[in-house]
Amino acid sequence: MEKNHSGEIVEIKIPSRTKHLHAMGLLTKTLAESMGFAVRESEKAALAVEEALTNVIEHAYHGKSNHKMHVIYEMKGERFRVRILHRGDQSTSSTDAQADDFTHFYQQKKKGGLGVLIMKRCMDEVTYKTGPHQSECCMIKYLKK
Amino acid sequence: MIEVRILTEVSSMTDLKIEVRSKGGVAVVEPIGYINAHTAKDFETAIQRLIDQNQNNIVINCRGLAYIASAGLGAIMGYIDAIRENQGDIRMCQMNETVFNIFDVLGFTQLYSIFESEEKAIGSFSAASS
Repeated sequence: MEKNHSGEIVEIKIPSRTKHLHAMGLLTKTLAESMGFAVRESEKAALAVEEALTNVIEHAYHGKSNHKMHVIYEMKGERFRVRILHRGDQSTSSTDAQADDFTHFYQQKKKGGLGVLIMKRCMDEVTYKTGPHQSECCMIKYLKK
Repeated sequence: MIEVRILTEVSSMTDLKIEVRSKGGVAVVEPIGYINAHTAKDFETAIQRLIDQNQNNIVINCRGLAYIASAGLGAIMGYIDAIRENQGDIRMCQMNETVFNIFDVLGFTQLYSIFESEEKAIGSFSAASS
């Protein structure tokens, strides 16, 4: 597979159903590997995308499966950017403040927010944007040589 | 001679099959497939059943586990305190590299005992009590 991406975009729209999470993980892993990421780093990207999509399904769409999630992969140079757009409720960032510290989750016996922590540990950048019509989670992973 | 007894088999979907057996007084849970938000409920149910049966010495054999997401990790995290309060533990074995790396990302490898074989994981319970 071609590994020198001067700029490619892959877009996919999927229903807000957990049954598609695994397929999206596999797609993410394949795209990351095609950019030259090692297997371990590609698997981390896949896990981060699954977690982000899970958050959209559970928190933005409240488990309802009749919505759409729009996933955009941008592969340019050494940057692997994944944008996840949805029209559900705005993501709350209440768990973000402490999301860098696993001890917090363990001590508080918190299960919620674990996905955000995984996203942050697996990707180099995780940001959220909220617009009038849709919200976006953007994750970036850099290919380190 | 170690007694092996099949306790339950939860198999509601092709993405995850869970076998639960008793071996030497320790419950061995073997998830086959992957655990994410789609399948975690079955995994939780299997662990909860063991707790309900007062089986608090649990080994999760990960040899058939392709990967685990936060839903599965959260399930383990959610039950571990209750199990340890009952003088039990959840111990893991035979993780593939992918699953080990996921545990490692969150520091789970420092919090849970991970063994290379099911025999060693089971044996660790009797070693601890002797």
